[in-house]
Amino acid sequence: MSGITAALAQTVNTPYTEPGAVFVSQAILLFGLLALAFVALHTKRSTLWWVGAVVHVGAGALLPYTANMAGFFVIWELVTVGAAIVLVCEPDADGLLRRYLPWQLLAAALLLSGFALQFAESGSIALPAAGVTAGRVLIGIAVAIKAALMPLHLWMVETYVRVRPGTAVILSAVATKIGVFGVYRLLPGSITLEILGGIIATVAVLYALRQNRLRPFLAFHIISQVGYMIAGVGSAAAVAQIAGLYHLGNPIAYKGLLFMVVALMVPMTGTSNIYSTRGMGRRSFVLTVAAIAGALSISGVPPFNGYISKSLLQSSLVSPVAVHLLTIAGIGTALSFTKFLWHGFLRPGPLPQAHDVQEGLIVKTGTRTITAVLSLLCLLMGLYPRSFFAELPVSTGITGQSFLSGLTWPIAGAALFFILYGPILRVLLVTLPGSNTVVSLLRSAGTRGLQLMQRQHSGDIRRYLGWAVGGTLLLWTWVVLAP
Amino acid sequence: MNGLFTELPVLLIVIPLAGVPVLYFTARRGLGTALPALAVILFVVILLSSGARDAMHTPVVTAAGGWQPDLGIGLQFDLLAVAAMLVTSLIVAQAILSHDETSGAQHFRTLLMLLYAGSNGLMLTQDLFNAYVFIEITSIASYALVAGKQDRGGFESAFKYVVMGSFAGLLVLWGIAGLYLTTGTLDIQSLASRFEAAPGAVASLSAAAVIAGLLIKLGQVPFHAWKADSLSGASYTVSALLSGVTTTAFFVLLLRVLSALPSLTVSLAPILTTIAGLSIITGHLMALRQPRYSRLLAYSSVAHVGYGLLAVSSGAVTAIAAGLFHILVHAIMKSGLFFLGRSFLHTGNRSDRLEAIVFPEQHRTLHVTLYVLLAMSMIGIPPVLGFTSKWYAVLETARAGYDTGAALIALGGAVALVYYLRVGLQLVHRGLPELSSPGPASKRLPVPIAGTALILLLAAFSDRLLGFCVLAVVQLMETV
Amino acid sequence: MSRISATLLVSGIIVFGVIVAYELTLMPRTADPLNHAPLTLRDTGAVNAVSAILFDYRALDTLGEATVILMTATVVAFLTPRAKASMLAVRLSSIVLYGVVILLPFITILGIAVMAHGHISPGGGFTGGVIVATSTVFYAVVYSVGGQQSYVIAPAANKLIENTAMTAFIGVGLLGLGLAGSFLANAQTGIPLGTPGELLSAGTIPVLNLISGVKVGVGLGIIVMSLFLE
Repeated sequence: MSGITAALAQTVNTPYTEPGAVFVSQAILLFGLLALAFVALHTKRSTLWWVGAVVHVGAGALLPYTANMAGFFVIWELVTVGAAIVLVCEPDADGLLRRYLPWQLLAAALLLSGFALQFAESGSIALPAAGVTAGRVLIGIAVAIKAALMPLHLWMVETYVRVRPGTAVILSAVATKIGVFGVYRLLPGSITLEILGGIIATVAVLYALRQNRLRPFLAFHIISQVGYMIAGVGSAAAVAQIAGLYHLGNPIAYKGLLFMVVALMVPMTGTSNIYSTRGMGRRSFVLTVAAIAGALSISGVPPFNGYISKSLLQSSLVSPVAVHLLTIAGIGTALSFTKFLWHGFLRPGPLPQAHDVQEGLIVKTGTRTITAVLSLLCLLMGLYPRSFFAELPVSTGITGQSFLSGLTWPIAGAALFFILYGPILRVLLVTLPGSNTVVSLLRSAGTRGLQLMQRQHSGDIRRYLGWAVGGTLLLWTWVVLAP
Repeated sequence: MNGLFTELPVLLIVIPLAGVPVLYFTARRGLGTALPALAVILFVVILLSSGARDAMHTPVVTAAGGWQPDLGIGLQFDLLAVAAMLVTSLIVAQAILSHDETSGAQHFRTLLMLLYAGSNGLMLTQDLFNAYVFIEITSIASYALVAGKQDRGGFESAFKYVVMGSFAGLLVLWGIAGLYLTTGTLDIQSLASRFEAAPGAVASLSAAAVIAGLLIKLGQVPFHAWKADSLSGASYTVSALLSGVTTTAFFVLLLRVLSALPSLTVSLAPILTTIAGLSIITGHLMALRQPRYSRLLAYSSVAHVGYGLLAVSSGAVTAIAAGLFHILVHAIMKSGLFFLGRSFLHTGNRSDRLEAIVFPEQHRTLHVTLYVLLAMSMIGIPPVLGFTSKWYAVLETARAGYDTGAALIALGGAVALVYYLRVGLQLVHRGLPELSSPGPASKRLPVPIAGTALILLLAAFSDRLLGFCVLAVVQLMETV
Repeated sequence: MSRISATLLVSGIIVFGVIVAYELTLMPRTADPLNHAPLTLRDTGAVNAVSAILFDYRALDTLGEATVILMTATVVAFLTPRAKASMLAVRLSSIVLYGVVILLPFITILGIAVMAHGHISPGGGFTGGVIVATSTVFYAVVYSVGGQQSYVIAPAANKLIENTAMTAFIGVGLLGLGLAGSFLANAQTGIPLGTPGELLSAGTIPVLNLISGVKVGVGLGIIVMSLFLE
């Protein structure tokens, strides 16, 4: 039976407590709580917003504990419901909902179809359906949408750019992680997924390099990091999976950190253009430290946490192609964040006109404390990884030798920024296709199809009667011809 | 089982029929018609629930006039009828409450009683010709209700409805005649055993004609096109009745006919599932670009009945039960959305074009909440009943071997979101269009509160409700 | 609809017509309808098997059909706007006027007789009702002067009669339910069926015949009169 209330009761009574799932849940919960705390200190939000945010984060943290399809799907949808409530409270709610919800519902529909096929084959709604091959592609596309993997990332970029900064922090805490967890939980490990992850990590970095606005820039980097995670959790190798999971936990610290920094930067400098922000380094010491810590982490520089998962991934992936792709992505990330740090914080020159900024924001001790805590967390997760995730191999950690070798690629990337950034940017601008062309093509084709269909329903009763007669004749033909 | 209960099915039809003169006499004495009409429904519901336990053990079969089926008319009071009639009673009660006390109220409620009697008869009868009589009663009552708006649009809609409805009636009558000619019986149960033995293709052709007629009534592709035109000319209350009550009744009748003819159902399965699939696609895609609220909901009905038809024609017991469950849930939520449409009128706006409709200022939050819950249910987002019914429909259809169909049902939700979101954003929009002046202040609460509350609450008991439906379908299969 | 698709449809229908006609010629006769007659006489005491079927075996259907007529009458009366009937403004010749005067009582009596003898001879409530309706329509057509309609029975009274008849029909049914435990039961209630062929025989059948005759007569009258009022 496909019982649903029974299945939900089972999720509550006997949760699924595999260490990886528990780690993901804790990661989402921790990041979610920090993000909520940040927003609470940062700005005022309506009650409804808080309800939505709590549902979003709570459902996200609950998801890994589900042991069957019904629980997984319901909670997966609740995450969307929470996000929708949050978006309703945003200033541009119409546009946001139109951009966010259809994609999420499409993902849900695909997931449901995939589950249905699995259920049809195995006859049980328990997860994971071992040995069942049906429905994998559908589930794969569903989790790819949720994780905002590359051609299916539009919803994320378009949403995160339009919401208020604090909201972006909350949303980024859950959605993509759930997608990655979906890959881990629902799909068997394979080389294909490793390479796919590598490709996405690389391509997303290339797109990020092209950006000149802060939030799309960060959004593409999130996608790139998700590529790393997919390569890890989608791998058949156990160690790579663990590395992928740890990489899923890492952004708790650095991604949140970077989003918060950006959230505070925009009002302070009065612009969201990377090239125009400057002088942050001279304005706020704490923010500068936080930005540097975040950038170093995401670039995988030891002794920060990004290094641990990235190096472990590089050493444990099965496919050499994926390893090389991740290396390229790593260089690109370093290059990109050097640009960010240079223009925003370090570049000398006259300060831009002081805006009437709510500079009061930064003075608040609360927000400053949270950024400081997160920076510290980045460092600690790098220095003592096994206290955070006990499943990591014993050898994980930073030694003198690994410290030096870990510096190679990030430094190379940073160096590229000062030498070759201009030409690289020019090439990227020309070669990468913009997303809008594809979307508008699809949209016009769809519209034309719908118009055609609509024109057939002309309201002429003779035509409708003709259809009915034709349908009856069809039924009769079938009856006569069928055995 | 004896005494009143063996005769209970007849009473379920006769009480609403008796409601017609009762309403007439109470109106003559100036007592109003709302309370008597509600009393009729209450009476029916009490009878239903008191008979439900008997029906649970063995379906009560009554022979009207004491003549056993084949000679007389058999009525079958089983779980299927109980479940469906409880739902339709709820909708009829809401319709009575939704109609204002205007000059047409008595006329409206009289027709409502006839519609109620007819649909109850459709769901109970075991006799094909008797079914035809009730089809006519239900249909004529609906034509009259659609025309009841008494404007150009209402008459045009009613005209189209009459043309298609008459064609459907013709097909059904022709089919019944053919079946009687070839099998010598009108009783659905004896038909089951004699249908196989009937020589030649006439029996199958006749049965196919009956099915085609019912598909027209249900509005499935390619028989669907009248639906939006008819519903858009009717008032919201009438649309709620048509998409809630009559659709449910015809679906139950289709279920009875199909379950009596298992071999024909198997051979028709490919084409029935194709029809259902096309209905799902057409319904959702057409709804995307409809300019008017009622047309949009009508096309969505095409798709949702398609879910039910798909599940039913797949042939597995659990799938049929899931399809039945979805149809019942759909009746509640779709009629709820139509009833909600009555609130637009309180803004003083008579058009139901999407860019013109907006919720009134009174009880605004309540309206929005109701709309969101109902729309969530239509789309199939947890934690409402529409989600669980969709879940069962998808999974059980897939298990019965119709993967594509299951995927269509699942994807339908994603498309539905797009149009319900569009409407929802329009409805909550505070910048009113110029043409709508603040309408007459209404103290009245929006009608579908009860239905919506049910949708929310019952979601917690979904498994048990599905179990009930499974029991009903098993009973249906066994008795035939 | 384009010409091609129309042609296709029509040819499809013709093809199926031929198939069905061919199949029908192949079919064996399943039952001889005349075999029912002795059975109905025993069960219901009605000589007219058709009436026995209509008002006893399948009385529920008849209740439904009578309801359809009632409903149609209500709907037509409600939907047609009250206006002067131009059709009734025609002056008729004196031959017609006097002819109708002479004929009217006979027509009415014929209608009532057909209703009353429904169980022993061809005819019955529906047939008799139509005849009665004809007489009322005749009257209205002939004696409505200058578009001002004259009625045998006022519209309000029409409605009262209709609803009373419906109540009576259901009442007879409920009587059967109370006495014999099944709705619209006839012989089972213990009502004497009488001698077949006599006017007072066949239990409730003549009563139901009369009731439905009244319903049909009044209902058709309303429908036709309302359609004049256009």
